[in-house]
Amino acid sequence: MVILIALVYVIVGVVEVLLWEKRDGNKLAVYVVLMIMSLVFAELMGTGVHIPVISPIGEVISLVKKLIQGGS
Amino acid sequence: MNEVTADRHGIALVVLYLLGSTVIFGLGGRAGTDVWLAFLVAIAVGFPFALMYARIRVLLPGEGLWEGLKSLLGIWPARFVAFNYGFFAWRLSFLVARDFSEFIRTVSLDNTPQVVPVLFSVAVCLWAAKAGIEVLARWSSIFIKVVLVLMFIALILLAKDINFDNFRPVLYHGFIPVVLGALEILEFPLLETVLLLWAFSGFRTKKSPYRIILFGFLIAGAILFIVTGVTLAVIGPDTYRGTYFPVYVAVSRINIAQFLTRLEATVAMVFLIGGFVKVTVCLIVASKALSALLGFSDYRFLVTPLALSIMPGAQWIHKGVIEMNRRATALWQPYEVIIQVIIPTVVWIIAEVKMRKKGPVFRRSGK
Repeated sequence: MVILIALVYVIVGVVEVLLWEKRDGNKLAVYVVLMIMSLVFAELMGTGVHIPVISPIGEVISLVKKLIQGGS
Repeated sequence: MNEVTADRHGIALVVLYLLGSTVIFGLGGRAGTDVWLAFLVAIAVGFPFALMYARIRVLLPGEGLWEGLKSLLGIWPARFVAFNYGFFAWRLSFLVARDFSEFIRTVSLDNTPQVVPVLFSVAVCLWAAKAGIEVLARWSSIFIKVVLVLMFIALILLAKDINFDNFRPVLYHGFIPVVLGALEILEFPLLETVLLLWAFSGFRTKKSPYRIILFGFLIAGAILFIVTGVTLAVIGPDTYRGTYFPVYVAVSRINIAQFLTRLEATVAMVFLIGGFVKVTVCLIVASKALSALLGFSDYRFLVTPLALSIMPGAQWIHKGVIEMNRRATALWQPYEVIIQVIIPTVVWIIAEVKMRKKGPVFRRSGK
């Protein structure tokens, strides 16, 4: 399963980049990094790992709430 | 690439975006028999916010929102705003994609893995997001007719099951449940209109943002009001609150002489059309915000990785249908208040003050 997911991502990534009219280095680097991140998420999902989806401001708010409430 | 959206197409897009995944949920259920009143209050309270969103889009110079924010706030505050809206859109796409798969699993394909419906819906949304907002708006202007016809047919066929006693007693528990129901409806879906600020690239005229956002908001609000009212009148407040998909339950009661039955598919179709538009808009907004953050002018090359990440995100955002329903009918969370109310209000005030100070100069720097 892990290999299959990786293979699908590689095929999608390579085909899409080949279809680009211009292959700018910066764009390519960002694209590769994001595809790798997405692949890691997909692999984690495929292996049954559950990661909570956070929201940046939401985390700050809950931290402030905890600080105001105090205690351990 | 400059994408100019015609007003008529833009309005259709706003309507389908707001109907999105909303149309199947029992929103405002905590208002009991006064859900219809909660909707009216939510529309009345939400309208000034929609007006503010349109005003921001008119005031900010430049083609996209990013150029306007950059010249208004400076690069780093604009990046902060872009990051938060991009993340909000990305997260919202997880929620809507999960709604898709939960709905499909709950009503028909109960043994299908969650990831399968998400995979197919994401593939279509990816394609549409790459085509751009203008194409999506034109598509919406065609498919809104399908949605309206389906809803009208369902409404006519449900007419004999409508029982107006389900609206009574009015305000039996006072006005507080109505206010709570209205807050619930404001957060999801009415003030999610804020994301459309980022979605549109260009407009035909200076007044187009007003026309698109305000008409779209009012039409979607009216449709949701009618759908909710009819659903409540058919199934009653207890069933409305007690089921995950009350509109689906109401339409399933259509039975014309034992001949015309099982019309729930119409609800599913409306949901799928609206959900498709919503996920696509979220993808476009997340890609635009991220490309702005990273300093790229084109957003399309970011769509694929972001779309592919929806699959794991949709699995992780909820644990099941109970949590999905709790989230959909939750009261305004602080995170949503910041994204939907506080940041737009701050941006609007700064834009108004700067425009009054600099006047024509600020305006001239735009289109």
